[in-house]
Amino acid sequence: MKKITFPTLLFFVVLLFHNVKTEVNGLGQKAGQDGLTICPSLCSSLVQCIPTDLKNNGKNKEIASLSCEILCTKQFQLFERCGTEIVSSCSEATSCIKKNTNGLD
Amino acid sequence: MLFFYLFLIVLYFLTLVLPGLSHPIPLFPQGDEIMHIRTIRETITQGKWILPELSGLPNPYKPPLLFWLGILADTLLNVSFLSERLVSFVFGLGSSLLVFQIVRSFERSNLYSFLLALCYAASFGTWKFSRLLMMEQGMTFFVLLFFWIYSLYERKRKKGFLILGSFTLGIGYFFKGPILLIYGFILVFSFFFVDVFRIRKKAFYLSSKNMRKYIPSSILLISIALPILWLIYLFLFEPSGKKLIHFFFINENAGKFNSENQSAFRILGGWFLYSLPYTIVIGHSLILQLKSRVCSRRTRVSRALLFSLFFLTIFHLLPNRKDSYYVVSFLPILFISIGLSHSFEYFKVLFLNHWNLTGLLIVYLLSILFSIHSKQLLAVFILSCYSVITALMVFSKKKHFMMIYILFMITVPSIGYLVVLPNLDPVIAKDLEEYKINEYCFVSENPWNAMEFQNQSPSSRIIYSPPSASKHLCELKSIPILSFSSFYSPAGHYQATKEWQVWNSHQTFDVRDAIHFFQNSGFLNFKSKISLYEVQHP
Repeated sequence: MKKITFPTLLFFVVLLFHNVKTEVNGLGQKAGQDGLTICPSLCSSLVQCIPTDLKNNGKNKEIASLSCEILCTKQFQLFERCGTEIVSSCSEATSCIKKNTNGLD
Repeated sequence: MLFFYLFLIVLYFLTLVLPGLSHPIPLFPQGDEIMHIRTIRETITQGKWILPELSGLPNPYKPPLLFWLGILADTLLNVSFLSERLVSFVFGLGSSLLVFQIVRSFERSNLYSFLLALCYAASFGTWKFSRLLMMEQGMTFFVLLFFWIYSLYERKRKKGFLILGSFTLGIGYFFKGPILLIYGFILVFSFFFVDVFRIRKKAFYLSSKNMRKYIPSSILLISIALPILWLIYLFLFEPSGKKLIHFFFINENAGKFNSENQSAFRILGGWFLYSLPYTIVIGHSLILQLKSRVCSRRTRVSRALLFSLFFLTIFHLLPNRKDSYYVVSFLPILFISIGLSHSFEYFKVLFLNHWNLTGLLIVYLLSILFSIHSKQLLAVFILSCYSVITALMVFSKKKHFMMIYILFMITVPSIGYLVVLPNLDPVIAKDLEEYKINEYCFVSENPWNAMEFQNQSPSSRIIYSPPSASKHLCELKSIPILSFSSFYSPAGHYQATKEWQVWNSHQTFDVRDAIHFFQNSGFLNFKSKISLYEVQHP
């Protein structure tokens, strides 16, 4: 047995770990042309989810809508995957987004 | 003589790294630089420097040290790309001087230490990141400083060095977070691994005698003191502190395990790319180092460094996010390990290797082909001269070491200034000066494109819009639009009045693309279009 055996085994374990993860679909795909219609429609639903006291201010709604569209453009897969939930209810939308980002918010 | 070599390293940086640092578009860009510069300039405007700001909120992506240094540079000199990038330039110079000092401290001659330090300075990774406002060169400096201090501790066994080393790692945290502490611990673990894990009669055993020697090294754990003090400050005294801590550790750091799983070859390719043009010399040396036995203080340290590179590579293969440039922070270790393993005479042999020279010739020939394609006659002429000399050296029996050494040293700066500089993207903000427009809508899928434009044109008012929101944000208000999006164009009352072609920042090329390429070589497009749309009044 040589001293390099331990690091080599470690290397293969990490490589195996890496390859197992490769099958998991990641996030990060940009919206492209589809986003031109899908993002505004999904974001108009999501804007309804901001707290009532904030919603009454038109400026807040505008900021929320723009932030949503920026995120939708950058993380289009996430919005596509949760499209049905976003349209149906705020709580379903939140839980779908949390599920798809493994709890990151 | 010592000062003469130090002077030569400084001279190299002043003559072959500094020129062109003020150009808005870097020769070899890295996306995050835009965000770093934006943060510094926005913070200067806001006047709140403790928590540097981006888009009106404290920057949650990175700790503040690089931003503070950029703010200091901008305040001392004036707000410019040159002042901000000088921060990395100084760290690049400092790292090269440290490589020189570290190799010297292992009883190598001044000349040999100098030549190795200059190799490190002239490698692609160092050259690129000493010219960009990125964290990497600062981190490299602190990794090297820590290694130097730790090697002093090993020699003198004074615990003060460990406290000093902890302090170094603690400061390093403020560049990119806990990653620098992990680098430091991996370095020490590699020494532990070499000393404690032993092979006897083909079996592993742990040397308890050597293990006891490492007990004082646990002092290094106090390196977390400075970061913890900072986190306590954020938690108690900053209104947005809790959210910042949560975002930085959960979204930014843990999130690296949750994005798209990138190929392991990005890290391995990083070693190859950023050690250019010394990749073959380094590869050759590593093979020889692995075959050799540990028989002296120098070879023990070089073996520990080798293991540290191995463990650091494995560490970077764990998260899904794997960027090639992550290897830059420990690139100098490669050059130091050459210095510790091989004598100066053997260093020359590594350089004069036939394959090494052939590799350099291939790099030059490819650069010439690119220069012919882009009609850069001066570049073609100078690079052809280099190629002829290299080719003569490949086939000549009497190879001249210093000539070959210089050819290698000038490779990256020559390609940078002769091949890349003439092909840089146009500075759009400068082209637009004649239009006298004060307000633009910047339509792009990536907000950082707008930040880049704002960096180039500080006096203009820039409104960023994703393509889907442009109608509401820009078109209804008839604001001139700069579109970076290939699929978006504004409604009828707008007309395109100017266009630019710019290099794609991310060029993907997979197996499917390769098949398409062979079917139709014209399909590959390395550039995308930016258009200026203005309202046409009847």
